Amino acid sequence: MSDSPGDLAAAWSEFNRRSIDAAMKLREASTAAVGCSLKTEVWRQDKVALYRYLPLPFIQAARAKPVLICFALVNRPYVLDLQPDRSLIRRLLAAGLEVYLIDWGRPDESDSDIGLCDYIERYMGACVQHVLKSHGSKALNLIGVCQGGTFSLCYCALNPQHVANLVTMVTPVDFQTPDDLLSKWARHLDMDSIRRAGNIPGAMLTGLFLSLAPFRLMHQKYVGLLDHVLDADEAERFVRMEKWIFDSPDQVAAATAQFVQWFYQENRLIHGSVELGGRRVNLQRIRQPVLNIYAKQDHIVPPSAVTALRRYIGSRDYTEKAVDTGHIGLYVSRTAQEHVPGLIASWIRARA
Amino acid sequence: MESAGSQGKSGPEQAAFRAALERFGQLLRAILIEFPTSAGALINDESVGRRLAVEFERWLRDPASMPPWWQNLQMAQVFVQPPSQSGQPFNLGSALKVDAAPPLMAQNHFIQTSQRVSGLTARWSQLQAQLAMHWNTIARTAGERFIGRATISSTALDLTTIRKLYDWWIECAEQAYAATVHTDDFCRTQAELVNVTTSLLLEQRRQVESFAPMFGMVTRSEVDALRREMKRMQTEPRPASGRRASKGPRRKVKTR
Repeated sequence: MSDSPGDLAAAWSEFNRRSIDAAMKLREASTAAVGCSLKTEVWRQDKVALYRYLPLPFIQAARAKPVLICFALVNRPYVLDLQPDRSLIRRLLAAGLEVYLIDWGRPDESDSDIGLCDYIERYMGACVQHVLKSHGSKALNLIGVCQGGTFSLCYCALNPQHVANLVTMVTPVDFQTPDDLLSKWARHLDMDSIRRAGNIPGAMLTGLFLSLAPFRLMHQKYVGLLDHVLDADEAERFVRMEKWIFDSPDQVAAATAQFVQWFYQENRLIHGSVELGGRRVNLQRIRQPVLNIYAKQDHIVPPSAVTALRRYIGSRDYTEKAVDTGHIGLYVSRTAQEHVPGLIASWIRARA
Repeated sequence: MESAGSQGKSGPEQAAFRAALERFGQLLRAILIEFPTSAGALINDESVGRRLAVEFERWLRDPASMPPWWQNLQMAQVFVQPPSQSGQPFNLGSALKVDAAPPLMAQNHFIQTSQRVSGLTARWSQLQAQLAMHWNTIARTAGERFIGRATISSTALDLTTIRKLYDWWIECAEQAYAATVHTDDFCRTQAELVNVTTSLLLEQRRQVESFAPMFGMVTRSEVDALRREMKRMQTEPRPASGRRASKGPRRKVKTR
């Protein structure tokens, strides 16, 4: 809308023309597939799968232990490999790293009893074992993203011998910092009733996240599409992101209730009172090198919730990196793509 | 390559896109109707600012503008029949037109259930009203902030200007929204609304469970029990099959 029609009637017809044009471009882009790198399923239990990404041709393997990525339960992990120029995974492969990814799948009501211990110790533990066995290695590099980062911290504290280096991205640690809106909203929920009501529909969760900044995310973002003529690549990128945002799997009742109660309501992670399979999660047991990456404008996991990590872990090799973007921007924005994968790869290689 | 949930279909993202553009279009139309002769000319900033503030407030007061999470909570409306309409608390029996329901169920249990649902429904309505008050505060504050900021003096009212004003308004609305939704009162109200909605859902489920056997239907509890049993069978080690499992002496197979 940079052209000034100088006439409201002209403005109106310009608005209509651009709306129709944008709608058509988005419709044409609606078949855009997500996920771009070749992968193969190497392990599966129930709905959880472990994928190994195939090395890129003509790339020399780095001298580093394999990398396992653990994403959150609340969204699909393909955002890490959305399209060739917006793929953390592809860039790690380009750096010669062996990359594995845990895909938690799409749970249904038959999974409603699965708890955090199952996710972290049983499924994640089995994935780690599979990778270690495949590479004849005793430890691997673990990258935890968002809620997956919290899982990774728990896993690492319970099984430090299996993790050589730990990378956490936009990972909440202190769940009760003053600027954490999700935490405030969760504080008074009756999680026992919610658990009994069954799995939480994914659409409800999408609605929850959009409601954190509803005018920006539900209005301005779309009107902004009319600011200039969309090209096909731009439309495809936008559609891919939109598909991902609205593609939340249902959340397992038991695990969600535990996560909200233990982490958001009781802030157990920093108090050392999370218990999984009869064992306490003590963050002081994390003594391996830790790289903690966060987004400065994160409206879902505020920086204060992430940077608390340095106060609770036992590691002396701790690096913190802030990126000037938002929560989702850390996965896909150009700024993040230029800095984050390279940083992770070089940080891992330096600790091989 | 992976296919996302709504691939190829008109998904919620397209609905959101349409809704946002429709809103912006309404805003443009309102300005066009209000200031038909000002096209390209210099306009009075205060009058435009106030007009836009009214338009934005009208927009915010529309329930469809509520954040999606709040709209999800409206689902409990299926339980709520305002007393003015029905005069009776909700019960599934009457909803299903099952006149024989009370005699088939224990009368006492039926009354207790009705009272419980009635209480929850009343509380649900109270909480919705409280939430609506918060929403009104957001709308009012956003409008005030906007009028305080919208300075467009000596500017032709064109699309670029309106777009800029729209961005300002979004900023004002987000600020007003954040100021409200972080408050303890709001957080408690919203959480209780979720809790009451969940209780109503569970109550409805209990009622369905008590009615289902009358129609020979399987209940949720029975399906859950079946699933648990199947899981148990899948995870337990299978006993060795056939004759090998038997501890008795192997019978000799006669050969001809």
